[in-house]
Amino acid sequence: MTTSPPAGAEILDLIRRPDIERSDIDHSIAPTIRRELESAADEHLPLDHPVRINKETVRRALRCEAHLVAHLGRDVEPPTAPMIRGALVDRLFAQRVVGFPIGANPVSDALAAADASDDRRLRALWDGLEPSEQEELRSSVTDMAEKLSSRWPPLPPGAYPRLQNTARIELCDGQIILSGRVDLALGRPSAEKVGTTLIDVKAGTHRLDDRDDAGWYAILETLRSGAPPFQVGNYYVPSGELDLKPVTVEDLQRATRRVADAISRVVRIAAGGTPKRSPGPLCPWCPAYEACDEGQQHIRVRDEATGEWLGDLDDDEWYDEEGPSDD
Amino acid sequence: MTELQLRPIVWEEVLQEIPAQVSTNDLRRLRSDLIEQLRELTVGLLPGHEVQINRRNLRHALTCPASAAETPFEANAVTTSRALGLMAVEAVSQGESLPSAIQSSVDWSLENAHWTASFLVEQVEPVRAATVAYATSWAARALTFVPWSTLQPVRFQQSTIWQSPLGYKKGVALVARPDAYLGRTTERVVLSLGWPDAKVAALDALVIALQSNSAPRRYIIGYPPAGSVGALDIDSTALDAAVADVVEAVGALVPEGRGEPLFTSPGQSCWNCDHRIGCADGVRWMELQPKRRGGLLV
Repeated sequence: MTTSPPAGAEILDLIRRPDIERSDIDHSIAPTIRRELESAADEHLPLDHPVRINKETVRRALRCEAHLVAHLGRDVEPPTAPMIRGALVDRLFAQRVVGFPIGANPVSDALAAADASDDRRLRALWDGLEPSEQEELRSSVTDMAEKLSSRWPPLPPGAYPRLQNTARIELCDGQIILSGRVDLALGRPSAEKVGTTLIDVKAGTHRLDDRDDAGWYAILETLRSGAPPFQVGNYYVPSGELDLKPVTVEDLQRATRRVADAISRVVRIAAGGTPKRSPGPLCPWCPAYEACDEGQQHIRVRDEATGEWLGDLDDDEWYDEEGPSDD
Repeated sequence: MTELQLRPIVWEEVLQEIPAQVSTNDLRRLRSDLIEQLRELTVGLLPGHEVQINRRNLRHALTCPASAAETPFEANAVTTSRALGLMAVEAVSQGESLPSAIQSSVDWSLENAHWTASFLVEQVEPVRAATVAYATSWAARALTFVPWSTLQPVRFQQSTIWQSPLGYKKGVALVARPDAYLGRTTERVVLSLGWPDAKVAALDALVIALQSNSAPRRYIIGYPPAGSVGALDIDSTALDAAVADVVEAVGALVPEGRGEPLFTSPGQSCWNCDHRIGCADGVRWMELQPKRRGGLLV
């Protein structure tokens, strides 16, 4: 049985969570996180040049250090159609958050909003699309606009919405800069209780990295404000799912370990260390794949193993044309 | 001269142990020094030309004068967000709700031909929505970051402060843009929300001192993305440093007012310079640098 996605007051309830008591702010958490993150870099400091780390850097560094460096070194590719769709949806979401309706031509609305915000690039990207790509994007954006219009509620006056809320945290006297930008921050902590909700808006479907990204934003907010957020998560516009999770101490500890691991790797590379290679299933998509023996070997071994497994299946009587045996 | 630094401070300390105010005599001396040096520098300025020093161009003028060359100012949703947002913060402090305060700011600006009115007039709905979104976000950041109730009384500074040391339209204009005065009038603590830069704090303090004949005693810069609060206690040293910066900056920009090119000094600031694409020296410098992304060599 499918349940319909939350809308209106249901979304407000998911944000407010009146069923959950706000926890007390532990004022030792932020300094502890900072200490742990800075300790991760200690061994390789000082650096010649500060490093800047965002959620992508963390993700790629943990996946494979060589992949991170290869990705940073490639020529910047133009945004893909999904990225352009995401940027258009961000503009429409902002419109709904401040209580404005979305018009009959959502793409036009979003481009006008971007122009007015000195973001000429979005219109240039749109104009650079093929007519068929524009048609496809217009259809999906219009669908999402209708969903936003029917589901996202007016926010109460005390919500204090901060759109595209940036965080910029310096560690180790500015040698390491952590940065991030969450689509929407709501509420605030009281003197002693947590209270902020952070929401990232997704124009696509769930990805494995979404929860890790939420942890990243929680870390940044804790370091920025001295208080952990109350909850962090994602709003998936196509499905209408609002996936928010109250932040626990364990969540912060897990996220801290993850970010510290990434910092350690990045700083070691910045100090002249050789990027380590960690082959995996995503190797064929890496810019360095053609020159990476470990990656190609990993894929070869995997393909051979898959071929053997499939070959075993061909000989198995379960897969006789007459169907599975009763034995 | 020692580089000025903002010292980290917590909100609870902002109105505590405020230093003594710079004396009237010291202020008189500073003003006299400044005028004398500016007079020498501005000889030969083309009629009608004014060298303006503000928080946007000060650092540029001191590092690479060509990077401080004027770019046309455009009123848009981003550049109007502070002006509209600050009006809303003041209205919220008087009991209005944030959404209503934003609307009031827009209405007031249109009715009173505020500089933002040229952008606000006859906006189509998506553009008005973007304007409201940026202004709301600015105000919400200010309201959630600054503990306004503990810094009372607060007097908001909605307009920029101009000071022409050599006289009105006489070649040099200094511009300050503080956001609010905190505490009692005699405490003279100034607040600005933005990038933490001690030189900007000192410039603003100097302009306020010259314009009102009364120097601020402390300048606070709050930077919400980092959650940082920094303080510059305003003494003669700080104001002397501001005068030195202003003189150097005016000297760097004056050639433009004589119809001469501005000096280039390529360096790290090239990466963020508005003029980098058309600057041969800057392009050459950037091409010679090791290629980095995110600080890593690639």
